[in-house]
Amino acid sequence: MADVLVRAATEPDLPAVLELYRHLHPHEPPLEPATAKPVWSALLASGLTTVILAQVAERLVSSCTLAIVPNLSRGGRSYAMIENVVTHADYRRQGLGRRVLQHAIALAWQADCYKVHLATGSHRESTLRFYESSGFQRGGKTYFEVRRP
Amino acid sequence: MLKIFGAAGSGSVPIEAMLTLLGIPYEVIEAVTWEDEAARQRVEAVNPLRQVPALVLPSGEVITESAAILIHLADLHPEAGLAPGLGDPRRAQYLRWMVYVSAAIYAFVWIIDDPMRVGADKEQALSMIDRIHDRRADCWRMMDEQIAPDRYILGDRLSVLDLYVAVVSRFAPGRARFNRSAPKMAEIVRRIDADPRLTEFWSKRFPFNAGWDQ
Repeated sequence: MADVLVRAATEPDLPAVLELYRHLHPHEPPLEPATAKPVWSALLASGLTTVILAQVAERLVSSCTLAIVPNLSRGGRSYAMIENVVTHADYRRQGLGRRVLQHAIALAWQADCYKVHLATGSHRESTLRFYESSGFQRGGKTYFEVRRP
Repeated sequence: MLKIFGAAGSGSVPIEAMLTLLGIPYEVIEAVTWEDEAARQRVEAVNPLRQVPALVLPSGEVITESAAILIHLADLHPEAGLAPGLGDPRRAQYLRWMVYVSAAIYAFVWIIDDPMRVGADKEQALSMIDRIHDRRADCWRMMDEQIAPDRYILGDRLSVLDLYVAVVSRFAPGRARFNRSAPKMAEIVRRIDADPRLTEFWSKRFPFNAGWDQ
């Protein structure tokens, strides 16, 4: 397998990220570029979020989004959340998702976060084990969500 | 947060480029040490050599020497893949060329900035600088002849060595001469100059102004 580079996303990455996101929610229609562009700019400029990408040669093959949230508890130490973990279907089981998660965790520790949490909608044991092997503990807290009606 | 004592167009730039690429926040304490005594005094607090770059870790520990800083940061982030790891067969050549760029090429900056430091009188200074430029160009040539690059110096993946060469090759005698001396690396640094992931960064920290490559 070719060498992998894991890095932070920049403005010109948007089309390739949208293409990669087809592998995140395959049944959702892709976002129109005109809709995506301001969202992407806000995401990159927020100062709190980092989109992490893995690329093989010049192709983006895996990604996750890290949010670092300032926090008044825990001695003022921030916490981090990871969302939108995705690997291109042709590149799975090669450790690429693990690499982007490792970089997200490294950035969180660099920012002196006291924890990183992540939720997955998957019930597949293999997916849950993937997160465990990346350092996350299952069942640490009970997760709730409410979706907009 | 990481603090870098550095300056636009200086040896801090490859470090800043690496951190930008990886999305690691950092603060630059601007110090144009080769022009400004006050800047040298600012840097002296962390580096007795009164030179940039110097990196201050969150723990307060200081690392100087651009190659050492790049190697250390790349090793701290093995997941990013910006350097061959300990078990990688390219590791030895990676270390060799990182130190070579620093010791054989970059280090002459101390004399170029002020030839009187090594006793040259004003008449000798210009010819001494010319000879240093010749030596630098020759060192680039010898490096170029001994590497077997792919898209990048160590293979098909960008490494901190590429960022280092892309910046140091812009120091005197300049990129035009570098391109003639090191045609294989010339192609690689042009790719890095044009890398869309770094466009905004270069424009702020080492812009390609008119005539920059002369």
